[in-house]
Formats: sequence, structure tokens, C-alpha cells
Amino acid sequence: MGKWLHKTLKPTDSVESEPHADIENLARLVEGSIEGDERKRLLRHINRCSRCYEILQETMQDVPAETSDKPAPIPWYQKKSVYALAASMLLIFFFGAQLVYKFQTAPSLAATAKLALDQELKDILLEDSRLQWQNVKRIKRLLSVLQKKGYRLKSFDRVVLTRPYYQVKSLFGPQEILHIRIEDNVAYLEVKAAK
Amino acid sequence: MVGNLIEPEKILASKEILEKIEAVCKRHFSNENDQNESYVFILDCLKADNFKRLRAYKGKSKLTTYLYSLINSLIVDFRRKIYGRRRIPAGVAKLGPWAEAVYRLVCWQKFSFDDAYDFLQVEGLFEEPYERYLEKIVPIREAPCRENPSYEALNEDVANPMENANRFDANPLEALLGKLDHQRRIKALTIIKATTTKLSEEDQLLIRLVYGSEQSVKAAATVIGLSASSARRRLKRLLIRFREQLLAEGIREA
Repeated sequence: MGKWLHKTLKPTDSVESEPHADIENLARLVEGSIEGDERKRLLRHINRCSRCYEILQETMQDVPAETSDKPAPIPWYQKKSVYALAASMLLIFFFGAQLVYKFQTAPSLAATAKLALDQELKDILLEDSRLQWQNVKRIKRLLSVLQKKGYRLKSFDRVVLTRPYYQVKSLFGPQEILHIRIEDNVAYLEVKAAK
Repeated sequence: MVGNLIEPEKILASKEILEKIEAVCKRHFSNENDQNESYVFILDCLKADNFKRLRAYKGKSKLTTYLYSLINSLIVDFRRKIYGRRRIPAGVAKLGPWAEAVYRLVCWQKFSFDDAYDFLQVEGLFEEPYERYLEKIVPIREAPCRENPSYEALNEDVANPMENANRFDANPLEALLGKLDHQRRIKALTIIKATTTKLSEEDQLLIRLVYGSEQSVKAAATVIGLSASSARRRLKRLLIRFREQLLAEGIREA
């Protein structure tokens, strides 16, 4: 646990004049079964009472996630996601086919590229820690992201990371550049800090 | 009706419940004596007044969650009871509130003296230079401390560097603080604290639980009545607000 924030963000105000939160209400809060004004009052108290805050956070650690209430299952035909998925598939079919045709008939040009590393690319790089990948789906995903960004690269069927990539998270977002070089159907990737 | 919801005697005879109590005690205390003492204290409290605390259960939450809340509240009582027994030595108390705070942080909460100095600055309890602090804490260093005479710093001994990296990944505010020098860290902590207290009650608790207590976003979202994805979006917005405040005060990564 981060020692700085743990200490600094812990409520320190004294609310000795108020009664402490009811134990069962704290339990309900952990389960998410308390609502409206009752919840508001409770949150206000917890933000000012170190004792109730401590009980709440310790209980959250003890109560296993699986004991939380799960909503009743909704029949598949009532789920909006089913219709959204069907609509998406139709769109993909119509527009995707055109894109695939355009891509396959267009000449592959660039053998090198440099681009800012964004979360989409990071997700692909961090999928696993292997330095070489031949996973077709993963390579296709990389290609499609590059195309989406307007990069027309030579085709490749293997990817080699010249050195392992570890994500550096920062509140101020460090700028990283992905360098791509393609030789003999192999894409060599390297992430460097932006200067 | 209410009293009949549970049978307290059966609860306390259940091996599973007793193991849960034991596990909570172990999680809270590293010292075996404290583990055993707290376990006995909890059982005594649960049996007291004809199982009054157990009979207070009204069935509005799940019994397991209620029991965990109850056990944790008794752990807090127990901790206050033993810390109450461990009075601050007179030699420390006479130095003033700042010295008592240092004693509590170092002896009871296992922070280092350097960390304690930073917290004093954030709380505005000690405003003299660090060198002067080092001179003034000599009597505190020499004072007896039952809990931990070696004064270990908290969290300085993470064995696995990847674990450390993951921790920082999940907590960008803590990661930032780790990169700042002493003076800027104190300033940043003061800004973070001030910014947090200006947030809405829901946002305050979300920040406290996710970045101050490192609960999962999902669990914190449940507490404040949001879905996990809404809570993640809200956290992003809040981080931007923290970043703006920090930048406005000239705090940025080295």
C-alpha cells in the first residue's frame, strides 16, 4: 500500500459529537445495498470519521468479491448488447470488406515508421512478455491499428521486440515513441522515450 | 423477531466463523501475542451481554458481511485499547504535540523518522528545518517502544520489484510522490490533501478508497453506488484535476 497517500488521505477530522455509523449500515455499504439520502449521510460521515472509514476499508478487504449481489440474469433477447452486436457485425461486413479490398490491392510502401505510443498500441505490446510473436491475430491487430493511424507499411508475418517493453505510467503521461523497421517480413519494434 | 434472525451460540460454535475471526486477527497483527489477545477479545465482546452485538443484526445485509464489519470494528476497539495502554512516554509528551505525533508514527505505525518529518510538515505540526528536527528527536529515539524498537520504515522492503512497479502502475499519485524530492513531495501531499477535501463526498471516498487504501475500483464503485466503468471514468477526470492543481503549483516530475 502506498504509505504517503494512505496516511494523507485517511480522514482525520474528529466527529466525536456524531454517533458512529451503524455496523450493519457499513456492511450494506460494502454490498452496495444502501441508497439515496441514507448513503449520502453515511458517505459524509465516513469522510470525516477515521474509525468508520477504517472499519469500512478493512471489511472491503475481508468480504470476498463473489459474495456481492449479482443481478438476476436477463434473457439474451432482452439484452441491448445483442442488438448492438448484430448491428456492428453488419457494419463491419459492409465497410470492412471495402477496407480489406482497398488494403490488399494497395501497394505496401513504408519499411520504417515512427509514431507516438498510445494506449491502443501499449495494450498490444503488453499482451504478453514474449520478445517474438507470430500470433496472427495479434499481428493483424497491430497492422490494423497502424493502418487506422494512416501508416501504410510493408506486410510482415513476425514481430520482434528488440528489447522488452515495460509500461511506465505517469500522471503527466511520459511520451514514448514506437520505432518500426520491417525487413524480410519481420517487423522490428522498439520503444524509446521521446526527446 | 429481530433477535430470532440468527442463533448466536451456533455462530460462535461454527468452525468456519472462528477461522474467519482468526484470519482477520492475523491480517491485522504480525505479533502472535496481539493475534491471540485480539482473538480472545473479539470472542469475549461477541458473547458479552447475552450476544448483544450479534443480536443487533437486522438482516438488512448479508450475515457474513455483517460479521466482518463487526469483527473489524472490534479490532479497532482492541487496537485503541492496547495503544491506550501503551502511553506515550513522559519524556516524549513533554516535547509537545509534534513529538507525540512522531512517536505514534514511528513506534506504533512503523514509519521511519524521515517519513514522520514529512507528515509533520504536511500537518503543519513542525516547521523547523530538517537538521533541527534531527537534533530534537534524540529523546524520542531513546524512548522505549514496546511495539518495534528497530523503527523499520513501512513499505521500503518490497522484495519483488515487479510487484512494486505494479503498485505504482495502479496508483499514479503514489508513483508521482515516489519520484519527487523531499520538499516537493511535502508540497504535493499538501495539494492532494487540500484538493481531496474540496471534492464531493462520493469523489472523496472514491479517491480515498482507490488511491489511499488501494481497494479495487469495482469494490469502491459498489460503495459509492456506481458501476466499475463509471468509477474508472470518474477517476480519470479526478486525476486530471489533481494534475492541474499540481501543475499550477509548479509540481511536475523530475
